[in-house]
Amino acid sequence: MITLKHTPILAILFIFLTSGLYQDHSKYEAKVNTYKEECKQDIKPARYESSIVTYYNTSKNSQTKSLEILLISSGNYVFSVNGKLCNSNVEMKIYDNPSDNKKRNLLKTIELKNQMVNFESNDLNIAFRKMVKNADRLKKVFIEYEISEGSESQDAIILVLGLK
Amino acid sequence: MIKFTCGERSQIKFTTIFIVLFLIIGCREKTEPVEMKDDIVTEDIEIMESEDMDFLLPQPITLVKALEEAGLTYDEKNINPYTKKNKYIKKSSQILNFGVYSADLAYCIINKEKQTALNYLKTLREIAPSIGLESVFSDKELLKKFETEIENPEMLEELVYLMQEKMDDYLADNDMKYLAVVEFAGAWVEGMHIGMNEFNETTSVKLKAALTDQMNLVENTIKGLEKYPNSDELISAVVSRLSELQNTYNNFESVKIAKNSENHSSPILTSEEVGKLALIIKETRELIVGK
Repeated sequence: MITLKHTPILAILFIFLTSGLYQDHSKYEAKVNTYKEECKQDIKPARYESSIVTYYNTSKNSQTKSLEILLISSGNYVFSVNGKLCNSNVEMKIYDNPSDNKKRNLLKTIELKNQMVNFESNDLNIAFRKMVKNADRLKKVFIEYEISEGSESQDAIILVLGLK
Repeated sequence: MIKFTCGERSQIKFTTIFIVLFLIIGCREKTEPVEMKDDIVTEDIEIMESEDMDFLLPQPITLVKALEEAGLTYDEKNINPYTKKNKYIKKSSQILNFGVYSADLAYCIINKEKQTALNYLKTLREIAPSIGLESVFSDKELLKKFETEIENPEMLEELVYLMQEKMDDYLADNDMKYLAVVEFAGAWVEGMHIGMNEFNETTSVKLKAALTDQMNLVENTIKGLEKYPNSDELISAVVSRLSELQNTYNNFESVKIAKNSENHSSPILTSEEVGKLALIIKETRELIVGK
């Protein structure tokens, strides 16, 4: 039975466990970096352009995280997206316009959980031109991660962008 | 009422002091950002929740390359002389001009101005330690490679991309991503200044479109600058000028029409409209690089 005598021990144990959280954080960041490196390999031979890690906390409620990506170059952009740190289902939807635009078109949908996927702006442009008459190339894309509810956990989606 | 023995009371005292001290230290670490020696504010490591709406900005070399692919030519008068580097004393000024010089380096490399490019690379290496990027540029091999490959513009371009990737990783690993936005703002203004200086009646439709496409970056640049934790008068002034640029641009009739079109076509600006933008960009650049 735990008595008052044990409280100093419990306090020390508490500190020990809390310091463990910091170690867990470093381990988590190491995982993120490993998966980011996988994406960097995945975009080759395209040159690395930029990257972004979307952190979120999976909870009992579904949620959406959005990204705006400007495609300044007329070259072919390569997107590599890593969902190996997603503990619930994540559906990635790529649009030509932001969510406040009622006329926006859905260009592509991909399931992300536990996998790494890649796609290119050339393919998105083909889809875009099929949907919109006299369309120029896409100047920007809007990515939405639709994250399903699940048991509580710290999760992340890694996106690396390359340019051919 | 619960009665404690003398031993129990001292244990309670010890434990209470211990927990209170722990909580005070813990709470302080959680709420106050840690001020680093070089004025870099680190974020609380336990908060790992991205914003609901985020964005990605391109590399300075991609900005300049997009203009060059659209027909931009080289003119040395357009770049900021590297000899001015010692004028930039304040950290915000150094970061902004780091961006300016990054765009100038890209402009020189793309246009095969090798020796000038080398001078700009050396300038970036000199500024880097003052803005917390020493380790990115401490690699002596980079400069050596640059010098060895000076006659190979494609390899130089490759080296710039590698350098930017290394910098990107370093900023992400050290919770310093906000620096990248300030650097980007400098690079963007420099790229637009170079492009606008080339703008005249004979400018190709392709280059005009490339310049207006780059206007799409202003909004996110402003958002990023507004979140910069070490903002000062210079950053605020740059934000103010960029906001004016954004408002002016958004009010052009051609832009309103293009925004309502579904096909992502670029607005075709009149010479008068370009003149208005060029003037604000010139003034913004003067704020950053000095006259």
